[in-house]
Amino acid sequence: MPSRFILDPALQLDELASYHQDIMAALHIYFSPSAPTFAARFAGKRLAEVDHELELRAAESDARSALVVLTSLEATFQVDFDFRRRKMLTDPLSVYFRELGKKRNRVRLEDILEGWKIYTSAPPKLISDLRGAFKFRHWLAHGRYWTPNFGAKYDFVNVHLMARGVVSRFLFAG
Amino acid sequence: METEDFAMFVASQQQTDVDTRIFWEEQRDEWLSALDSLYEKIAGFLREYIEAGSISYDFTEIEMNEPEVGKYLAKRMDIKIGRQHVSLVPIGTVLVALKGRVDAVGSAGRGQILLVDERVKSAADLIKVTVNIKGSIPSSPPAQKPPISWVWKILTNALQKSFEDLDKESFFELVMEIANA
Repeated sequence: MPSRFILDPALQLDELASYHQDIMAALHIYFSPSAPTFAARFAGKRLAEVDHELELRAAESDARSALVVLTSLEATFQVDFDFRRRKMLTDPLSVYFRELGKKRNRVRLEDILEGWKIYTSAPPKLISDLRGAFKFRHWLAHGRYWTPNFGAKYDFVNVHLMARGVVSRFLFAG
Repeated sequence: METEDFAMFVASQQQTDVDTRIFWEEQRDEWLSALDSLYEKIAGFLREYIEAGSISYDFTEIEMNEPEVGKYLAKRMDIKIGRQHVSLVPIGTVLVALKGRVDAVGSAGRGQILLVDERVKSAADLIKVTVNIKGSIPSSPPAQKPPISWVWKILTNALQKSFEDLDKESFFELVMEIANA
């Protein structure tokens, strides 16, 4: 049975880290006086203003990169969910997913994570961290129009490390 | 030998420090002088309204503090047009590519009046490209560049950064824009 979903290679964790590094390096070069466009782009600015703009751009790029890591992670869970459901696997998690699929047309990520928590030996702390990180992802993806109250600090490095932990410690099927 | 080298290094740094200080003092004085010229020019644009009593202006000294230059005083020009107020606020002289910047602040926004090389029409004219040939930078052409003549211009398109000559018409347009006319 062919898979209905595939993971985009451009969203693999190594590729996302490499992309993020390139963007940050390019930003720092663009904001440095040695850039050919520096005078044109920042004409009339004080150097402190230029530094402040760079900080804002870097923070925004960091948040966007973290968002993409989390969407990639969500895709990994959804593809695994679909695979387990359709392959008629007999392990407890796959059985739970099949039951879940029968009850609802659209399965929430929260329910998928609950399955992993109950039916696998995936570290509960990691699942709890994931839930927090997906709240951050939800806030980013929905336009940040409310003031969030996250229990942890989320940035690209933290989120990427967590994603690596998930990929290495969760036994995804397919 | 090393001690002598070190002593020479220390001495050269003292000279550099003095040169740098003189450079920035000159830069500050030129900027303050250009600021006075700007205010004179603007008072000239407004003369008929000032004489008619419909516009007035005064100055307030504000403390500036810039890297390299340090603390100094510069004048802010406050223009009163009936119930509207427009302030010309000096921002400084230690800036990217320019010699000075004054922000025009009104009730509906702000604009920038910039002390720019008179040959520069837009930010694109400030792009510098250096070409390396086989790893070395080619020597500059022998002809000496003419000295820069700094003139006041108005930033007219914030996105593309066009610099329009400061004259009566462009200044009035700026005032009306930032004063919600």
